[in-house]
Amino acid sequence: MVRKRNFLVSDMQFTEPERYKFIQHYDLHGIMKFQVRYNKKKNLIYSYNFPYSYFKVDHVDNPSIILNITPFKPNNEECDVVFHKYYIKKNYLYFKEQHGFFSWHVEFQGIGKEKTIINFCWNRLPPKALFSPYYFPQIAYMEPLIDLKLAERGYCLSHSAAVSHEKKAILFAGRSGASKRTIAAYYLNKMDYSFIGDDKVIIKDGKVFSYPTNIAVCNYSFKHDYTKKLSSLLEKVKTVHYLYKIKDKLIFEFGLEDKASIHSVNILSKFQEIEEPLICPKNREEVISSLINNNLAEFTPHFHNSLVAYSYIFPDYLNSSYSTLLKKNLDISLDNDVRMNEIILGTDYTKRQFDKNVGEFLKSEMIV
Amino acid sequence: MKFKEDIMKKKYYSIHDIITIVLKDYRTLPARKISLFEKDYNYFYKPNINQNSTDLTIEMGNFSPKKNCKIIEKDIYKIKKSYLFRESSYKIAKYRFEFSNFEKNETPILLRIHPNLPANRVIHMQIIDFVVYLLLNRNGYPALHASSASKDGDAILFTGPGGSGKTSFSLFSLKNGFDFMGDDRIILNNGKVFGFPECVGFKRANSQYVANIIDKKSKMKLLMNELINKFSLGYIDGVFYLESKNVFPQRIQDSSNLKTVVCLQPSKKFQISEIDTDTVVKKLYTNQIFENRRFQRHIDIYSTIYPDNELVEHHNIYMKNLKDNIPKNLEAYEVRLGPNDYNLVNEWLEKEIFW
Repeated sequence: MVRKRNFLVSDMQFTEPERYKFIQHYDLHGIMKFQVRYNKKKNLIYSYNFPYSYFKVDHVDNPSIILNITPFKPNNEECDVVFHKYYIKKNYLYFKEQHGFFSWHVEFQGIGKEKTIINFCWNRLPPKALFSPYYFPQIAYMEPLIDLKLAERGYCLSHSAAVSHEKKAILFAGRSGASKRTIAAYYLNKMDYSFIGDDKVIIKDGKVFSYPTNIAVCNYSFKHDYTKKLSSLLEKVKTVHYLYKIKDKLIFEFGLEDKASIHSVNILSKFQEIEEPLICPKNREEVISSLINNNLAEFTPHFHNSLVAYSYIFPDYLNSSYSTLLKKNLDISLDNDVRMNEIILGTDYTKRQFDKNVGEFLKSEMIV
Repeated sequence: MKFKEDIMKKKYYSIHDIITIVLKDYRTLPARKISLFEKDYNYFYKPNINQNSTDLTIEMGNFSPKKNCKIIEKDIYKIKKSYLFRESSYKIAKYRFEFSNFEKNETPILLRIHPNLPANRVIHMQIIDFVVYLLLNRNGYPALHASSASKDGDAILFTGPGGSGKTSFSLFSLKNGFDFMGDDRIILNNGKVFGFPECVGFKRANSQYVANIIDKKSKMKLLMNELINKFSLGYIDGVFYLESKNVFPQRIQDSSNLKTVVCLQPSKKFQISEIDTDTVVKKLYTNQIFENRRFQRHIDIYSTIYPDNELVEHHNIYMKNLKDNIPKNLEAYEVRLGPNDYNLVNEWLEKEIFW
C-alpha cells in the first residue's frame, strides 16, 4: 500500500499527450468551456463519474478550466505556507487534504486568471469513491470554480431547481434536503413541464439557463418513487446497479428546456408541524440575500478554506468579493415583476401524501 | 427541576468589563473536571460582579430543542427566528448546541450546549470562542488571532497563520523583560490592545525561553506532557493545561498601546520587509475569517431562511472595526521564515525591535 502510494506521487516524466489518454470536452451553453482529462483505469460507471455529460461536445478550444485527474508532481517550491497546509505563490495553490485515512492532493494553477488548471490526485480512496474516483474532484473543486468564474462573467450559478412551461420558468431554491428535486420530479411526471435543472441553474438578465447534472440519477429517481431519499444504503446500491446497467447511454427521458425567462423564484424550507404547504410573499431584497447565502453555504469547505488561505497572502483576492459580485448580478437579473415567495413544506411525506398535499398546492399556486 | 437547580454551578466571567459571561453548569463532576472552557477563561473569572447585566449566558448540560422549528439540510439544523439548533461532531467529540436571542437588542445571548465527555475538551474552540468574538465585535472591540507582549506601556503584536510561531515569539519577548498578554487571541480597541491570557500553547521548543520564569509545578506538568506524548507515540498531547495566570502570575499585562505589529509568514526564504497598515488590516481580517469558518457556515444557513438579520453583516462590521481601531502611526513588518530561521528572527527582534 505504501509503495503504491509513493509511486502515485512520484516524478512523472510523461509528456502531455501521453499523460492523458482520455479528454472530455464540455461547453456550458457557449458561456464557458472546460475539460476533464484522465487516464482510464477500470471499467468505470460512466454516468456516475461524469456529472456534466449533458454539456459534452466533441472538441473545445481554449477551455477556461482544465481538470487533470492523474498523479502529478507539485510545483510547490518557493511557496509560502499558510494554516499548516496550503502552499501558495502568485496564481498558484497546492494542498493535501486528509479525512481520517483518506487523502488527496490538489493543485491550482492560474488562480484569478482566465485559464485555470486543477491537478487532482487521490492518495487513498474513500470507499464512497471506489466506483466513482472522478466524481468527487469535479464536484468539490471544479464546480465551485465554475461558480466563481460565472460570477465574474456576470452570471449566477444558483443552487436551485427549475422547471418551465411555455418558456417561463419557476425556480425553487433551498438548502439540500429541501425537496427541490422532488418538486421538479412532480412537475415532470404529473404536469407536463420541461426540466431545467434539479440542483443548480444559471441565472442572467431575467433568463435561466439549464444546468442538468447527473442525468442518469435524475432519470432513475424521477421515473421511480421520487419522494424516496437516495441517501440510504439500499437505495444507493439500487441506483448504482441501475447506472451500471445503462452504461453510457445517456438520454434524458423527460422534456428539457435550455433557456427560459424567470417567472417566479421560491425559497423552500421545511416545517415540522404542518402537512399542507404554506406560501408567504417575500420582497426582492430578502430573496436576493437568501439566494446569496444559499450559495455561500453550498461552497464546499475544502474549496472555501483554500480560497481564504490564498487571499491571506494576496489580500486583493478577497473571498468577500464573490458575494458582492453575486449581489450585483442578481440585482440586474431579477426584475421587479418576478414573483417571489417563501414556500414552507411539511416533513416526511410519502409519495401519496406528497401528491395529495404538495401536488395540489403546486397545481393551484405554482403555475406559469 | 429542583434537583437540577441544586447541582447547578454558576460562574461569572468579565472580559475587560466589555462583556460579561455567566456559565450555568449542569454537567456531571468528571465532565466538569476535564472541561477546558473554565481553564481557558480563568483569567477573567470574577466571583463578585453585578449580576444583572450579562451579555452571554452559557448553559452546559442536557436540554431539548425548541418545537415548531424549520428543518434545514436533512434534519441537521433546526431554525426559527433568532434561534439555531444543530447536532455536530468533531472527531470523537459529539455535541448538540442551541444558539438563541442573537437578533438586535436581545440580551443576553443564550448558548446551550450538551457535550459528550470528550467534547468537553473542544467545545470552547468549536462554539463559545466564536460567540465571544461576535459579542466583542458588536461592541466595537475586534478580536485578533495574534499573540502579544508589552513593556513600558507599549505592546508588540505577533500575528500569523496557525503554526507560524506566534507563541514562540511572545515567550521570547518574555525572556527580554516583556509582560505576557496572550498567545492566541488579542482584543483591539482605539489603538490599544487588551490581553486575553488563556492557557499557553507550550511546546518543547518554546518553553525554553521561559525556563527561568515558570515555577517548579508548571515545569513538572510540562515534563509530564512531554512524557505522555512520547509514550503514546504522539497521539495524546496536552493532558495538563497550564493557565498563564498560574505560570507567570507577576508577568501578565492587562492592556497597553499598540506600537509594533509583526506578521509572521512560514516560507522558504528568510526575509524581513516593512509593510503598511492597510496590509496589516487585510491580513488580520483574513486570519480571523479562517478562524471563524466553522461558525460562519451556521450563519450562512440561518441567513438563507432569515436573510434580514444582524449576523449577516458580521464580517463587514469586523473589517470596519479593524480599520477604525488600528493605531495610525504603526510600525509594521512582515517576516518570512523557514522552520530553521527562528534564531535569526530572535536576533533581529533583540537588535532592532525590542525596546
